[in-house]
Amino acid sequence: MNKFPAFIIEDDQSVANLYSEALRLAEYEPELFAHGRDALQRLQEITPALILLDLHLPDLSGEDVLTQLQADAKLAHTPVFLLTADHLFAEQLRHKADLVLLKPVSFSQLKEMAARFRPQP
Amino acid sequence: MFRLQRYFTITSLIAFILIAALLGYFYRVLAFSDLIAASESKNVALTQTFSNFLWPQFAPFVSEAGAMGQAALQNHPRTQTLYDEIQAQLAGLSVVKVKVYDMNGLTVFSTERAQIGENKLDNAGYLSARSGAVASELTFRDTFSAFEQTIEDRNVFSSYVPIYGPTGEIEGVFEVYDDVTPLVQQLEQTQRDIILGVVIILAGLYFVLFFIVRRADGIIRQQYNDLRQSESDLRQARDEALAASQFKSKLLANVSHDMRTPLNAIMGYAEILEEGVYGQITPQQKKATDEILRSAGVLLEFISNLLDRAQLESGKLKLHIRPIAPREFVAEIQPQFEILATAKGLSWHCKVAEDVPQQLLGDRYWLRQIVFNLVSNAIKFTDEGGVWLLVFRRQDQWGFQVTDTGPGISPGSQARIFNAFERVSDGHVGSAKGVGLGLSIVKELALLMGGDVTMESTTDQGSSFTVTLPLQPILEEVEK
Repeated sequence: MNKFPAFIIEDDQSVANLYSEALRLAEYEPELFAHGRDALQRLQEITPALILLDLHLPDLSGEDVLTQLQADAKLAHTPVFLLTADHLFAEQLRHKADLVLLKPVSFSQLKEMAARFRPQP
Repeated sequence: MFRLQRYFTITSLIAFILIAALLGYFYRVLAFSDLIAASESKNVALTQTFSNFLWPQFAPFVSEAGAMGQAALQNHPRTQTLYDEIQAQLAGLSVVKVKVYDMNGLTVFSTERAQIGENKLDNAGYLSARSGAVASELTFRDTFSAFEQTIEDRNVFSSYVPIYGPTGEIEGVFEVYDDVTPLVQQLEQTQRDIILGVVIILAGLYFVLFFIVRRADGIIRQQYNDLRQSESDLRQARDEALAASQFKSKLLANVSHDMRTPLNAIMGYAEILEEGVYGQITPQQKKATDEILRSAGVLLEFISNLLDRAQLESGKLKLHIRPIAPREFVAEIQPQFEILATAKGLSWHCKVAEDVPQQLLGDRYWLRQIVFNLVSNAIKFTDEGGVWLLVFRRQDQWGFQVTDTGPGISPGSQARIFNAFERVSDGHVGSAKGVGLGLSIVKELALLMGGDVTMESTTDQGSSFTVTLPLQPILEEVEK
């Protein structure tokens, strides 16, 4: 069974691994990026089926990455989950993303939501 | 800034000059009117003497004079006689000229012989005296013909005075010229002395005042500078305090945020284990992961409260007022309470009263925080019985009521319960959990939303917290 490619853009390694486990269980094949720039570069080569974006990144701000993702026409159908610990920030960005998850993100909730957004064959 | 010293220098100089000039002027006016009055009465007295002693013998000559020619009159022996007599009378006096007129304006006698025979009928002074009123005038003469010689630069006071006959009728006019030069000189000297005196006094006064003003100016300047200094000190202190407060809030927010990420990992991996992603776990291992999740949950709640408090303290908290469906809102949040309550063996009751509107306005996030704080407290402190959540409407208000069958709160603690960091432990020693931030946040949020929170509690029977909110919310910031 083919797995769907997914991007996890998150600078905290252990949290990124955790998300990775959840996405794998939801039948995705996640790639991990600690920097927004790397992820944007990788987008030249591959179109993911789901993007998890942490809003606090070391290089670009999560918002900048989000803006660039949304400007990319080939990602028009790729759902983006925003992850943040700042609830006010989350409120502000709610309408910009498919889903905004407030940290700490529940493992089972993430797995559930990722599965729900999985492309239908 | 106001320059007191300069202001004083200019205004006082002007004022002092004006004072000296005015004093001099008024003295002159008063003194001259005195001089005129005194000289006039002297001239009148002299005329009186003339009327008494010389007029009776001179009168018949006067009545004839009209018919004589000027030369005849000037050379008449009677004229010479009168001249001698008058000169004798006036010896030692300051009178420098005397003239006599008849009722037709004819100069029948003058100590200046050339003037005898002239007519003065057109002279206002003469006419005034002929009708009974003395007319006087003070003039300065460059040259003046006195009895025996010509005098120069004199102040001459002259009066036309009526001459009364024995019957009391005016029979002629007497004109007297009095040399008042010494008097005028004395008067002017006195005037100069007065002005000088005043100037000296004022100058003294000016210097005394000047030094007082200079000192006052210095003091004012000093105080002004001190005031500005303390103002700038205060501003600096305020800025520093603000910066410190902002730093504190930012630090708190950052710390809370940075703690959530590792907490995310802790809770996430515990969940992975519980879910058996890495293989089935034993009941003992399950107990351990439960314990990890529960403790992490407590820590998370603490961090959330700390973050909420930081936002309240920073004053940056803004309400995002949007439409809310209360029933949907409660349906969304109540399952987690049900899980928590049933896990502790408590009964869970949740109800939205029928008269609560289908839609209300409010800040969803902070309303959730209020309910979450109240209900999780109730569940936390209640060991048996149940917890009730009621959404109610009361006239123009609506709100939440959270009731439990917990240990209750003693009346002494009730007063303090809404204070930050106040945690009541008397009713349940050893079982107190949380950091006591929750209720203070509930109180502050309720007030911020234009509502309030009240409580009722009976020890060992339970507590009930009621949050009331206005149906018309405070519209701080309305979005969509």
